[in-house]
Parts: sequence; structure tokens; C-alpha cells
Amino acid sequence: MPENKKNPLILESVTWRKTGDEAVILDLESSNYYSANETGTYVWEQFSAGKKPEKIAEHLAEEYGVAPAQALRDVQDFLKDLARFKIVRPEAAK
Amino acid sequence: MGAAEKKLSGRDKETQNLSSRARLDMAVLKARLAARRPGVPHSLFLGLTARCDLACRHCKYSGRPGGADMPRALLRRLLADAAAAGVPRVVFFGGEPLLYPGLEEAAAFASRLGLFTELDTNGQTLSPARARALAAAGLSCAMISLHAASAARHDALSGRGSFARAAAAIKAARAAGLITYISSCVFSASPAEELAGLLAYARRAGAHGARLLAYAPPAGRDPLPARLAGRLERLSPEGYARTCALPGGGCAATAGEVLYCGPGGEVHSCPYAGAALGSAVRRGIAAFMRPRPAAAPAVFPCQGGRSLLK
Repeated sequence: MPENKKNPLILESVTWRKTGDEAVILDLESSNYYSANETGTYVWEQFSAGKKPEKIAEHLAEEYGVAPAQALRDVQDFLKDLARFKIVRPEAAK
Repeated sequence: MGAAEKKLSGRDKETQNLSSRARLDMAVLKARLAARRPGVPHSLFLGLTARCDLACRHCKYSGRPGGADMPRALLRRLLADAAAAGVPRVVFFGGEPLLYPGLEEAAAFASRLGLFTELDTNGQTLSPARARALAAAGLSCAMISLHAASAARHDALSGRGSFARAAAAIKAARAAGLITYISSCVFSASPAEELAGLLAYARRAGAHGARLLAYAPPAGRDPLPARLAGRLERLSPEGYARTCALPGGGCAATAGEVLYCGPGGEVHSCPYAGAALGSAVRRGIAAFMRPRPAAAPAVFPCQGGRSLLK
């Protein structure tokens, strides 16, 4: 079953599902779909649950042992890409 | 490598007329197909039972002794092993899989494992309520046997009234939101226009695609599979209709793209391959997954040729 979208910054036309370590994200409007790797899936799950990028980066830094500033850049880059793909609203990456 | 990484998987135009859930099922399937390791088949066919409520004249399973259904513990083990190995899709097969007790539970179990689940059925008892129950359990797709576009031709093979019941099953599967294919056996003697008529019927009935199987005589080689693949390229260049023969020679079984496990755990390179490769009960299904040599054998496993899997 599709996962819940709690974050209003995710576009209405988007649905997604996690299988194993991977999330598959589908834009029903364009029919484009994307798969995220383990860390991308972690970020996506947290973002989808409504967490702010800063909070996600904090968890990511702890979970994967990367520097907090690097973790935040990675999260923002990921969200920028998703905004470019019209999966999330542009303000999500700010 | 960044901590968060994404990749574009693709664009899926062919599913635009499906429900959101079915489209997501298809996107997940395609992402998992693309991520497969060499040697991992795209589909594992599971012969849940040898019992059937039809006795089609052409069917290789017709008249075989029923035997025992697949034990549920074995089925769960096969599904779990397939998911762990990265097999994207399982096909519930028979006999007639709708006769298998616990089919809905099996669909739910497979779906929870992230497997794309298909039902290969004659459709005779696929009522609207059963189709909805299976969809709710997690079934993604129904392939319904329909061997001709006319009731007279189909019923001559599968018995009186079977065409009407199969047609009703297509409607029920569509209404339940399942991805719906017709599955059809094609014979050497079938005129080309009959195939075109069948595909036209499938489109009118709202089927999302057609999967065609060249009928293999019990012994000896037949050029039909390769001919059928060529015909489909002309009749359905956009891929609406597909078959198991590969355009470059060989078939899905010889390429190791499919595996079949019967009710007792016997493994074959496809549901129609004569020779068994071994037992999944003793060795586990993953033992039969490995990369295949590039050369395809001249004779298909369903025509008595040996599989390259051994």
C-alpha cells in the first residue's frame, strides 16, 4: 500500500512506497518515478513524516557518522533535486 | 558519495490508464527489475496446485493426477527466499490457483515482502467479490486465459461457457483495480488474422496487455515460438502483446529470466519445461539462480530441449 504523506510540501500528485531499503517515488501526473537508496530513503521517510531538513540532518549525522554541516548539505541537495523533479515544492529545499 | 542520493528510474507511460495503486505497483516492479543482480530471474512461477476446474484440450496439465497442493510453509519459504534474492515478481500458477486455499493470505504475505504479485488464472471463478478480495490482499495483476476472440473457438478448447466466464473475469479484475492481461495459447495452425482479432478483442475488453504462449507439441521442435515473436513485433510494436520467445533467439527460460517451482518443490526452468532441475525443498530456490551462458539452445525446453540452467 502507498505510504502516508504528512508533509504538505510534497505535491499532491506524488505517491510512494518503501520496499526493503528502497523507496520508490512516483509522480502520477508525469509518470516519472524515482528510487532512492538507503540514505535517500531515510531522508525521504523523515521528510514525508513532516520533519524539517535541520532535524533530518541531525539524525542523519548521528546515524551515518557524517559531519552535521555535510549532512545538512546532503539533505538540502536531495530536496533540491526532488524540487527540480516536481516531487516537492520549491520551498522544501530552502 | 553524498549521504543522501537519488536516481531517476524512468518514465512509465503505459500505465497511465491504471489506478494510482496499480501504477505504483508497476513503478516499484520496474525499479526492482532494473536493480536485479545477474542470474536473478524476473519472475518466479509458483505452481500452487495441480488441480483445475477445466480440462482444456491443449493443456499440458490436463488429465494429470491432482496430487497435493503446495504446503503453505514451503510457499512462505519460497516467497521469502525470492524476495531476499531480489526476484521482483511472483506468479501464482496452477493447475488453477484460485482453487488453492489461502491464496489471499499468500498474496498478502508476498505483497508485504515487496513482491509484485500476479495471478495466472482461467478466470472461471474470479467473481467481482473475489477479485476485490485479492486486490485488497495485495495482488497486483491478473492474467486471464482467453484463447480466442470468439466463444465458439475458445469453448471448443476449454469447455462450454468458459469464454463467457473468462470475459466476466476480465471485467471483474479491471473493476477491482488489478492490472489485467489476457493470457493466450497460440497454435501453429492459427491463421494470422485470428491473432489480430484476439488482440483487438483484448483491447476492447480493456485488458492492459496480452501475454501469448506458443503451443509446443509434446515432442520435437516447432518454429512457432520464434515466428510468433516476429508476428507480435509487427502486430504490437508498442509492446501491448508479448511472448516468452526472445527476438534474438532462445526464450525467457533459457535466458534464466524465469523459474518455476511446482506444488512438491520441484524446480523447472519454466512451467512448461519438461525436465526438472532439482528440488527447492532440498536446495532452496536461490540455488537455481545464476547467470546463463549467452548461447541459446536450438530447441526450447518446452519442446524437449534441455535447459541451460543445469
